[in-house]
Amino acid sequence: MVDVHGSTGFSGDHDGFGVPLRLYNVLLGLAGRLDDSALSEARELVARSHLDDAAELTVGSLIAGRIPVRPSEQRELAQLLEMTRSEPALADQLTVVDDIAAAEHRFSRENEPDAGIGEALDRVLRVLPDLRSVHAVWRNTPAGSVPGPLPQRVVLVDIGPEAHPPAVAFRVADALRKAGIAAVVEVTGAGSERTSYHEGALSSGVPVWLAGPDTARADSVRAEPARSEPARTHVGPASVPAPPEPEPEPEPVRSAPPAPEPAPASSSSWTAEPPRSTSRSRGEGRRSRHSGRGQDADVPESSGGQLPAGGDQAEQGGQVVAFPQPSAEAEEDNRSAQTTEMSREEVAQLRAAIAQDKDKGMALASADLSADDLAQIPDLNLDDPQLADRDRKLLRELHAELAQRERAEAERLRSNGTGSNG
Amino acid sequence: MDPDVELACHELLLRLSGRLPDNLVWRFRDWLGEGAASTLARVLPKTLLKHRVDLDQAEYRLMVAGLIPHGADWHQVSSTLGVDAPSESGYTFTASTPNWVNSVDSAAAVIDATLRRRPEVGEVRDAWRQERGSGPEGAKRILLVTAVSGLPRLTGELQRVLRVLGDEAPCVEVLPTRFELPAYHSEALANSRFVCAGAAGAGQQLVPA
Repeated sequence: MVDVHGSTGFSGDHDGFGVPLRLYNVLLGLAGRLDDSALSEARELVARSHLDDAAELTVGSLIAGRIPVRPSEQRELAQLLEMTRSEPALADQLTVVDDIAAAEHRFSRENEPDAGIGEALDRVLRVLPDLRSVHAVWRNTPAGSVPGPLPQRVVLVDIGPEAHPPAVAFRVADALRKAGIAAVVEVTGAGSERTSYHEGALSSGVPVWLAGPDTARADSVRAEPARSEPARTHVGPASVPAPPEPEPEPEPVRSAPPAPEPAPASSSSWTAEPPRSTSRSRGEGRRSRHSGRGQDADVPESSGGQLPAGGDQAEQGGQVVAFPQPSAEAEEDNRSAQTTEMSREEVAQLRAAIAQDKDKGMALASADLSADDLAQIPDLNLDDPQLADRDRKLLRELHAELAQRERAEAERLRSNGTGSNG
Repeated sequence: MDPDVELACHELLLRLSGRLPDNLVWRFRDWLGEGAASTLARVLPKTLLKHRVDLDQAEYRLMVAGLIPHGADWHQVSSTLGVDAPSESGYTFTASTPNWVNSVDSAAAVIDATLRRRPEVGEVRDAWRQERGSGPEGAKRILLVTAVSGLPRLTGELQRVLRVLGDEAPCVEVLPTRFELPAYHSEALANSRFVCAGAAGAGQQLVPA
């Protein structure tokens, strides 16, 4: 029988790690090797504290599928079986291989893997503490011995130390399921490190939502009372652009009553598309970039501070992510992702969001442009640890594009003589 | 694995259709089909107890015959034997494909392509199950197959096919030719439609013509 008392070989040997987290981390390591149904069900069992069922489902599926595990994984599973009062001898039936070749998986960001996710997770993102980012991607390759349909949507959630990975995985998966979105949810962060599978998925993933620098704690957001006035602009990590408002603030937003529920008014955030109806105003602060897909640009008619106030740019909440997409064709609707196809109004939004540091001068002073026409482009802060390499790359691209647009705009105006009075 | 022991396990799992959640039933059948009976023996009795599923005497005998040889816990097995009369199934069945199913029934087409004239397979039918009192939107396909050999493995194979085609918790009922049908299967067959036929048991139709 497997020695269940020896070191597992896992880093840190789990001092201070509870059995649920250890079990969760085993499941995390099996992502891409075990079928997604087993992963999702086992994670739910962990979250609901049915630890023995989770351990047995995991081990049973590995045994039946003859899925190879490493010796350290076998020892860990044997320990977990024993600690959950299951039968540790089950681990003896595992197929143990010293050197497991990394499963080759193909991921794709084509065909909108993030469609609907922002809306589905609207409430989850506001309630659960210390969420950092959400990405989505399609996996085009099967996983495990009894794979489900392909492509498989993978939703990757990065969390901070105050979040509990099994709970987040379960709640996010549950919210997606209720919204009719089939997905497997991978939650990584402090204490639950990514594997190469997650890195591969993340490198191809579409960012759905990023927390702002001060939104590590959702409870701090919740603690703020709802306000009747428009909420403030939120910025994402580092210099993720978060355009505050495209137009003068619509009056209904200011005069509308506070949200009836303890919604994080301070978390109301920007979305490049015009805000939607009252029913969606709960999601202020953390918007999916698809939150308004397929809908016309409604005039805002409710409270909740969906549109950020003009010059006031206190950072509180997470925000929609608006990154350029490689498959940008046929995206002429009011999505917020099209930085390469942005209208003048959208560009103005982005400029205003980037121009949060009022102390910096305008770089294009020679062109006497109005505030709506130009905004300064501050230096990028790409040192934020919450940013993935890919996010940094996208930010650089976005920043460069904006700068180019500014220069072109200034040049055009100069050549036309419309903005020069000196 | 001893064929009689394996068949006892298979029949027990057949009788649990509609009584345990689908996601557990298909998984346990997959384990049996892959030869992981000892894993099943350690997990199934406890699962039945947790889900408060009592076995009648015939089912209990199947469990003893099928799982005790593979190391099932006697205490748990003993506790599964119930004394109350079995409760009525909470499902109804219909042969009509729900409207929400795509007019192109890929699953039926693939099943036909896979099982047609297959030596160990008899008749193949399907029915749609829905919970009593609920609408057809939650209807679920129940695949009913007769086979003369390799039942657990055929079950696993068909489950994998249906999963890839989008049914994450497939209901595949591979019935032995000599099998006293539980009410669940009788009702499903009575409200099923023909899909295809294998080569086995040409005269053994699940539903009289």
